[in-house]
Amino acid sequence: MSLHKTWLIARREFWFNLRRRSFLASMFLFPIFFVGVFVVGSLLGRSAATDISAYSAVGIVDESGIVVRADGTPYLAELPEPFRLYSAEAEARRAIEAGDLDGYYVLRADFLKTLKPEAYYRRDKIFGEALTRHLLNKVLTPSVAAQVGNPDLVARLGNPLRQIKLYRVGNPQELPREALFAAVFAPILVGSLVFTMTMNVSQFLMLGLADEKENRMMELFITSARPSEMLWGKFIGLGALGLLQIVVWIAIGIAFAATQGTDLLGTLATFQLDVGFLLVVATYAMLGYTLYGAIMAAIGASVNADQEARQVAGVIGLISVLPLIFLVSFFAAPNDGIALVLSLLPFTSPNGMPLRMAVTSVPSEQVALGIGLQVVTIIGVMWLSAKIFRLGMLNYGKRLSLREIWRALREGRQQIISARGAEEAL
Amino acid sequence: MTHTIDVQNVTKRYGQKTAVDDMSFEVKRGEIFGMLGPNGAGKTTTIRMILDIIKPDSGTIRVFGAPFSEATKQRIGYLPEERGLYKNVPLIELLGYLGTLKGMKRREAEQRAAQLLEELDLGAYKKGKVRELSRGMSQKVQFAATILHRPELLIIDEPFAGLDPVNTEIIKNMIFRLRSEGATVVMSIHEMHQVEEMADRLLMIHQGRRVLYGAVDEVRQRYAEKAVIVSGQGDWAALRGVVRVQPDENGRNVTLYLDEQTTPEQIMAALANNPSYSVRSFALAVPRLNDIFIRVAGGEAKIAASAFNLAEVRRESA
Repeated sequence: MSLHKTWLIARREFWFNLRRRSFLASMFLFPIFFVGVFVVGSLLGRSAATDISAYSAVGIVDESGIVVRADGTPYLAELPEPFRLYSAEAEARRAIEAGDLDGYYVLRADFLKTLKPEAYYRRDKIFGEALTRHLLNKVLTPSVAAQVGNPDLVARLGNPLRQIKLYRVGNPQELPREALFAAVFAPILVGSLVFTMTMNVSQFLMLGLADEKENRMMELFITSARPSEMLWGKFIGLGALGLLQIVVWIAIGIAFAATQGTDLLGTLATFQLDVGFLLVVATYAMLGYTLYGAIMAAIGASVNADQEARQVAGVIGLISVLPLIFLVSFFAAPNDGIALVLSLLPFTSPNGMPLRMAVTSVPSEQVALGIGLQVVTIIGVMWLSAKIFRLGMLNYGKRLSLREIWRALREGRQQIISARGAEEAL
Repeated sequence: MTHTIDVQNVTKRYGQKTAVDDMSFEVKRGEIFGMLGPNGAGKTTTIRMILDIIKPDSGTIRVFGAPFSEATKQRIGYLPEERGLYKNVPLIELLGYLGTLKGMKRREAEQRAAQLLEELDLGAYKKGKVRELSRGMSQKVQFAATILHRPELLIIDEPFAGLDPVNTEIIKNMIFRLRSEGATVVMSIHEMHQVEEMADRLLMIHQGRRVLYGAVDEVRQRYAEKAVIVSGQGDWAALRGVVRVQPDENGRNVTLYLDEQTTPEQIMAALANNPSYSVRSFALAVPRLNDIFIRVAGGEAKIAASAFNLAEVRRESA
């Protein structure tokens, strides 16, 4: 195999596909979409969570003795806006009818048991979660603190786990709380990024071949380079493109985090990410790309037009995304059943194994078994793909049927059938 | 001297069907070699075996005196019958890329591509894309891609298919020029008059077998009938040695069939010496390749072909 030709083909595939509108769209629109969802979501969330400006006056009727003492005076020197104290419910109701109140909360005598304030409000002034949280943070908690006399103790009682310190085994440095969340969330994120990238670039591989076949360019190429040089060139060029895509996504992520005042890399550094785990993720990503690339290449070479190729590729894509579909099983029972099978099956393990490793500690022999199964499958699929590729690339204007592929494999020959019938090509 | 292509006893079967049957021929260096045959005769299969795209079941093929190798690819330009190009890539970039695959430097390939596009009247489309071109124009681009790297051996399958007369002439002149620069050209073609006009030697394939092979003139002579074609006035049947007189459809020319002892020279002398005949033209009745083709390979010629005794034809031409 000539490395120079492989390099030429790789370079061409890289630059050509880089300029494709669909690639640029996926490279930039995908993160923009994510950022957009995040921004809109957080804006909506923030306003819903904190905005209480719509309320001008809200009454509190305390029958539980949390906010007011037995003599009727409140524990807090000054009640925060928009709250007003009412000694009886009837009084508060009259205030609503007079238009002085938007509504009122009643803390019943058994409030400490139920922890549920009752809310009465005007139809046009629905009491949302933001207001209830405001009541909790600004009125109830400080009132309790005033009774206990020690705000720290109150805080601790309110959220006893907050004070826990986290350490990774074997590392004396404290682990930030977010790392726990990230440890579960990151593999899902990385898994879907790798999946998107793999599907994206291996589809380019497929569409490129279908295009070359549709445009009758194959004979031109195989009299210039070996089929293996063509395939590897495409593999490497498009693989590099996939990497570029991931790098761009990460860069956009870091840049966006920076605009939000977060030093993403610095934060990640404190997460003490497991290098071994990252290596496994990277290995599975690479193997997954090779496996799906080989399959897509065979599809590209055996169909007649890229429209057909897309349909077949859609089905293949579904298989690889199975681990994400069965996400719940990975959390519920990561070591048996569906999760175990999906993390070992070669077609689903690129996503399945990292996912499983995120939620449980997978025995290293299973990780190795998964990789071994992958490699064996890749060798088999590559062999089959090369056969189909050779068979398909000269059969212009024609889709290969499974029967033809089987017959050709069995008899070890290449049958050339042209669009205008077998006779002519012979 | 080694031949550019040397095909010996090559056979290729697809299942029950024998696509190429015990084929042997050589292509000499610097010649234009025409491969003729009806659809399905085995031309494309033969070409694909020469180019090592498919392997023969038996027989040997040598190109440039050696078995086909990767290095051979750089020395060959191939225009397949089923051909096309990337539709969305600027021509100069496309040709530059194809040139580099044939071992050229990028810049050199693009310069040569620009020059070829100019010569092919496509200079204005250098930065255009194939999808913007007419069918004839993209055919010319494909031809440019074939000869970009100055191949020593050019194998072109139906080079004139779909071309108008003007573009046919442009391509034809380029082929002649390449030959004069030392290239060997193999054309698979079914337009007989092009072979007559261009090829030095020919190979006719029918049902996978070689039925005619040799220099174009020699083949035509071989199929020449014992006859002359004349136009003018006189009683042609009265000439000594003429056994049959056959006027052509428009009545301008008359074919005179001669007996075994009489030569065309004797007829010419008889006409010149006899004042009762006035002759405007006199020619040997050499058949067009087309007629030979129909006799050897055409539908009706299946009967004729058996009358010809193909085995004899093959022995004769061997």
